[in-house]
Amino acid sequence: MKKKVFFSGSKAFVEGSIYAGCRYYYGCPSILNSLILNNMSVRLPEVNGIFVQAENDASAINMALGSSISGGQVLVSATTDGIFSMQNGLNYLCGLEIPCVIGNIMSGRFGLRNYEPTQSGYIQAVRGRESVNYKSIVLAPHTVQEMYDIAIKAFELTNKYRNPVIVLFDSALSQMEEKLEIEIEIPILDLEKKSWHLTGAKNRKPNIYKSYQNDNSDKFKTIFEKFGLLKNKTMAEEFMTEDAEEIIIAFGLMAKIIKGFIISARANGRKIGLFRPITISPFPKKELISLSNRVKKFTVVEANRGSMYIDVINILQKVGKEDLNVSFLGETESSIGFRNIISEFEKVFV
Amino acid sequence: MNNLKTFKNINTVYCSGCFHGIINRILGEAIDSLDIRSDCIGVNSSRCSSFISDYMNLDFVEAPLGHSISVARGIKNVHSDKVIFTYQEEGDLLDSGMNELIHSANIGENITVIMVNNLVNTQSGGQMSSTTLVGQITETTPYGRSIERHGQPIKIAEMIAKMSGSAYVCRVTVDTNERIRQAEKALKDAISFQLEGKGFSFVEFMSMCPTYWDKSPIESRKWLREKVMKEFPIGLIKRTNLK
Repeated sequence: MKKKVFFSGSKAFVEGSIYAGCRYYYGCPSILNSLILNNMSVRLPEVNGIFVQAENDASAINMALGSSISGGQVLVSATTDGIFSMQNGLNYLCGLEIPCVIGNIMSGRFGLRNYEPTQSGYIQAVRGRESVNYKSIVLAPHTVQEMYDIAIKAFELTNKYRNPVIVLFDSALSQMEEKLEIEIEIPILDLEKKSWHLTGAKNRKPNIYKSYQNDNSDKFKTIFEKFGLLKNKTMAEEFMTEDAEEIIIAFGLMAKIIKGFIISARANGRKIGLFRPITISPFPKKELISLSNRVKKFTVVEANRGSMYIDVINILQKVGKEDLNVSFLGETESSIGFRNIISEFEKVFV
Repeated sequence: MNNLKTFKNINTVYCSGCFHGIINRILGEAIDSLDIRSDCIGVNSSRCSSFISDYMNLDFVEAPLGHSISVARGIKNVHSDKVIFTYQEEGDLLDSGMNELIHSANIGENITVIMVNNLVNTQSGGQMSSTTLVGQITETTPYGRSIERHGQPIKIAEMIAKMSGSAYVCRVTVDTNERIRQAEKALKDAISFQLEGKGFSFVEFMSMCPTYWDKSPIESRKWLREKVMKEFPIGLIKRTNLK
C-alpha cells in the first residue's frame, strides 16, 4: 500500500533508505547535509536503528565500515567537500568489498560558505576510486520521487555486489519539496547472517580483513570480474527521443529542468529529446550508442566544466562515426552557475 | 604451551627485542582465560600492529590509518554483546586518530583500546611520533627532539583518565616476568570492564623498537628502564567502579 506525501528530497532519501532496511546512519553536520541528519535522528530510533552524529566525515565513513562489516545496513551522507575526507575510507570499502550507501550532495565549488547549486561532484563520485584502481556504482536521481526509489535501489545493488554505492544528487534537489508516493508499511527487518560478516569466530575459521596479502591477485581478479558484470547493469531514461533530431544529455536536477524546456521547444517545432543516465557509473554506454545510430547531434548540458562531457565524448568517439556532432553547454567563462547555463540553454533551444 | 586457543604460537615477523610478540601472546592468554574467544572482534591498523591479525585466532579487520576506534565503534553499534578491542601503535592512534580517541573516551564507548607505545613511527621507517622523548634521535629529528620545536611527549593515558567516560586506564610494560603477569592482569581487567559495560578502557604498553632506536635489544631494555619509564611511569591510573 502506498500513500501520497509532500517531502523534501532529503526526507525522501531517508524514508527510502529506511524502507530498504537501513538501520545505521553516520554523518556530521554541514549546511547541505543537515536535513538528512535531522530526519535520520528522528526516524532511526523509531525503527530501532542507531543514529550517530560523528565527529567528522572521516570517522563517519569508518564507523560505517565497522557496522557494515559486522552485518548492519548503513547509510552515510556528506557534501562533496566532506566526501573528500572520506576517500580513504571509501577505498577501504571498495578493497575489502563491504556494502555501504553513500549520499553525495554536490556542493558549490570549494570552501565553507559556497553552497550555490552546481554539479561539480561528478568526477569525484565517478572516478574518485580509480586513483586506487577501484570503481564504485554511482546513481543520480532527478526528482524527489526518484530520491526515494533510488535509495531503495542503492541498497539492493550494494548488497548484491558488495561494493559501495554512491547516490549523487544536487544540493537543490535535497532541499526542495515535491509530491511523491511512498510505501506505508516498513517491512520488519530480517537480515540473514552472511559468512563474511564479523560476528566472532564461533565454530568457523576467523574472518580476517586486511589490505595487504602476499598474493593479492586472486582477490583483485574477483573484484575486477565484478566490475565487468556491472557494465551490463546500467540504467538510463529516454525522454521524447523516438522522433528526435537532436539529443540533450543531462543528469540530476539539470535533466528535470530540461524536460520542461523540451516540451516548450517541441511546441515551437524543434524536435529535441533527452537522454538521462541514471547510473552514471558504469555509464549507460549501450543505450547511448544505440541512440547514436539514429541521431547525429548531441549536446551535453551540465552545471560544471564538462565532467560528463568527457565520458560522452569517449564513448561516441570510440564508435568511430565521423558525422556525429557532440557539443557542450555548461560552465564556461561566459556562463557560470546554474541559472546562467539554463538561460543560455533557453536561448539556444527554445 | 599447547593449550593456547587464541594465540597461534607460530613464528612472528617482529624484530628481535620487539615487545609486540609478547603482547600478542598475553592478549591471547587473557582472552583464553576469560573464555571469550568466539565473542571477540579485533581492529588493527597501520604500523607494526598490523601483523597481529596473522597470529590471532580471532575475527579481525584492518582500519585505515588512525581510524581503528571509529571502526570499533561501528562494530560495537551492531554487536553490543561482543568484546571489541583495537590494537594500535602510538603513531597511528595519537598522530592520526587523537580526535576519535578523545571523543570515544568522553562518550564512554564500551570498547577496549590497546596502545603499544614504542616512541617512534615504526613501519614507516623510524620517524618521530608524538611520544618520542625529548632529545631522542629519530629519522626526522636527527638532532634530537627539542621542546621548542616539537613540544613535550604526549602522555595520553593521563589525559584519557581525566575524561568522564573512561572507566579503566592503565600503563604497563612487559620487560620482566613479573611485569608480564601484571600486564596480562591489566588486559583481563580492561576486557572485564567492557564485559560489564562500565565504559571506555585503555591499556598503554610501553614497548621498545631496537631497530629504530638504533640500539641492541639489551641496550634498548636498559634505556627503557632508565629513561622511558621515568617519563612514562607504569601503573594503574584510573579504575572507576561505577556499578
